[in-house]
Amino acid sequence: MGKAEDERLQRYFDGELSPEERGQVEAALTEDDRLKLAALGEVRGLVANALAAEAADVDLWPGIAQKLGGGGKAAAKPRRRWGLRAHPASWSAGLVSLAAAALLLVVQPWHSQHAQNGCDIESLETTGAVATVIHMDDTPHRGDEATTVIWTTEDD
Amino acid sequence: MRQARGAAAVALGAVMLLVGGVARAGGATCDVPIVHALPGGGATQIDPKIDMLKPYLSKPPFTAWHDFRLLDRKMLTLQEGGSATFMMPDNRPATLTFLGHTAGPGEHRMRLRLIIEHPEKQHRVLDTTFVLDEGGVVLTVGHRHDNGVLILGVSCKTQN
Repeated sequence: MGKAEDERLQRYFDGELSPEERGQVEAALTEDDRLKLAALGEVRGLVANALAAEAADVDLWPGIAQKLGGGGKAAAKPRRRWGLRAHPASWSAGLVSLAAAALLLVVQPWHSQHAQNGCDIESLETTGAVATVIHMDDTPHRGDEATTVIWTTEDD
Repeated sequence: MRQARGAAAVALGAVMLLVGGVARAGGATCDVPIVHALPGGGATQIDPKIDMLKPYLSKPPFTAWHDFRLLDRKMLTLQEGGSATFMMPDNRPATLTFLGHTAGPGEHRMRLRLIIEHPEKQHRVLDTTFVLDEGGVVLTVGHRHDNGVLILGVSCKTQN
């Protein structure tokens, strides 16, 4: 078989021929040609298996996801591991969010301008008197903090 | 470029936190009204100058008195760690010390110490340290004076 015939047989194997050309090749196939086609088929199968095995070795995500309990859904999205690199702008967005959170922490716009009366007595000492700490309902304000009254009654 | 934007955002956040911290680092201005509570009679009378205290003076345990008059009012400017001493109407010295700023659950708070002395008996009738919400009020009651009692309020804000 000449070089032209070999190329034609390869194109036949690859499915590149028109129906008319395919008919012509099939009509002229020899036993030697059939052996070549079988060999090409085996090589293609071996290459495909080798590539699949290599890909499985490189991509560890399905195994990791399975270990982490991610299950089939995680394994079905192996490319997700590249999500952060694919969208580097998310870093800037995160930092801007951080700055906004810092601003809110300082300004605290959710607090009203009306002061609360929250008071914690850390120490209380009296001499010649008895002191009582009373917490009054802070109804005139927002009502979520009591007003503290330190009531002393002196000895006679 | 993206790194520069990120660094700028971090720097902005840091500056804002720094500015916020510095703003809280000032002294304190404290309003200390001294009220004379008398038994009175009939309807409760509350001095218009102490309207801010009216909601408290109108209900127990203050309902034992019916006449509330502002005898004195001290406006004290205190640096952190600083004290001011003033005389109560019964000639007892009282000392208010601003111990510093502190933080609470969602509020800015101020730590203060109040001492009321008994000069004749040479002891401290009251010595208390408390942490109060900025702008909030704490009341001390009980020093007898002219057929009534004295009510001393303490309310502080960060000095501007």
